[in-house]
Amino acid sequence: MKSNHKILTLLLLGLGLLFSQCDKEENYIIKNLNHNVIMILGHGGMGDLYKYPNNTLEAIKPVIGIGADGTELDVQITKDSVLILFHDETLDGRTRCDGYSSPYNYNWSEIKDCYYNTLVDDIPIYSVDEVFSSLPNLNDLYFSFDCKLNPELAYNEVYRRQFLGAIKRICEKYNMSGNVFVESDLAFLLTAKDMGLTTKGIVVGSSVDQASDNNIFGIGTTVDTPPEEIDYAHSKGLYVMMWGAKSDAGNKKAIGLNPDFLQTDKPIPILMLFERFDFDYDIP
Amino acid sequence: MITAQDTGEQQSNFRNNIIKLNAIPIAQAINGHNQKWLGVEYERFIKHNLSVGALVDFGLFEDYTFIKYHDYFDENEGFSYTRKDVVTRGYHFIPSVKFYFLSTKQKKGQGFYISGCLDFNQYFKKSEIYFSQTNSFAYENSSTTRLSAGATLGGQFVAFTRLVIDLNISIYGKLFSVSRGQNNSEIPPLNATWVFNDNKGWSTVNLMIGYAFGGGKKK
Repeated sequence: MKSNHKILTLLLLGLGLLFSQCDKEENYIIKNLNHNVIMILGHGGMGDLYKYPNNTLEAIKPVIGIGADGTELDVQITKDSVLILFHDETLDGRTRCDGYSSPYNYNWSEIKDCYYNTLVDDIPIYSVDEVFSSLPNLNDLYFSFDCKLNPELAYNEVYRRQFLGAIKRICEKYNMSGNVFVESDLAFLLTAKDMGLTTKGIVVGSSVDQASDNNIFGIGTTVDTPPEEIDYAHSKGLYVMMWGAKSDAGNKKAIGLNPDFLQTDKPIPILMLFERFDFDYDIP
Repeated sequence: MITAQDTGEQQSNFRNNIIKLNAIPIAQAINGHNQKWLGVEYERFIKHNLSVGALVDFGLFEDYTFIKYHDYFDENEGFSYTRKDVVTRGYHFIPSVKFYFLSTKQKKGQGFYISGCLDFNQYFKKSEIYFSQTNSFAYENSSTTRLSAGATLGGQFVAFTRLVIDLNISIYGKLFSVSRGQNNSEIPPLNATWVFNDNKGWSTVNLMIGYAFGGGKKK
């Protein structure tokens, strides 16, 4: 009989704990330059933990479907100036194109059938053109292009202009210049301005003062940035793009820093937190 | 105090009826929906290891707000938002036949069981959409009626001869559904912990607490 009492007591305690967790609510007051709202972007789509690889249509469609404002994407160019989505320096390793080097060494037609090494389905490399043409309500979405420059050509002016030219063409084709952030170093963003790009530059690796002095749109930083630095950037009129939120705790840490735009690997909990999760969408 | 066991007599608690409450929000904890529904199951034993029953889950299965912001940089129509408030109410009626393939002799209804069941389910969904740009509202109503068949694996524990705790998992397959409104899109089974194959199948997990009554002790 005593053991029955113990089981019952444990059960009731468990139920009490469950109900108390269900009713817990947190309120956050955001203060930033973005209408006091954090723009929520996926990281490469649904993030590193999703079943499909980052930077693929299979990972991008769901993050938009659940309510995110858009997503960060890793972009590179091919030899024939096609802007593609791919993270790594070489195709070898991540794709079935064993021995292939940088995407820049190939024309698009040569690598478009380089499928990712995944256990399920054949997931190809996508061009930005393919992704933009596949998304409904594209002009209501935002994308942050993390420009993965070929390390051997990173400081080559011709290559940089070729890269920026590809971004400019695709943005103009889809009327997306106002909805695309370009993340890169200061020199790259200044070249972009020089070429007439009206995308929003997010500088990486420069100080707030340098970004401000060069009229850059915003700075890119991580969730480990001191809050004073975020406040200082805002005081200078710079928007703040934040990344490194890889967990629910990371999301909450980022929220506390009041960024304007947040790239997250855990989009579902943060969208739920802000009542921006669309329950009508069935995640594949 | 002398008990039946003390005298060496074999005792069996023949409580023929169990009424159970299904009030633990397991699905909510997994699918994230804000739910306030209650389930009541009546189970009647027709043999020591065979029972029939019916579970009714009813109430609020979905209550959420979805906010979408537009034009953050005031480059087109200006910064605005749409806010959709969604409420879905409904019920599940689940008759079942349970076979206790592993049960204790001392307590009827204690053991592990499998059951075959049907789930007749209706949901009624109401959406109110507010457009801040035009300060206007739109309203949408939709419904889904569905019949499915399933199988359950469960375990039931009887404490103090009358208190019953039932934990079970069920897998359902859809037989048919009819949906109206909102492009006739089907409202998925909201009591499910896992839905697969475009609402063609799903699983539920229930933890119920019950009270056994009727019958009596039989030596």
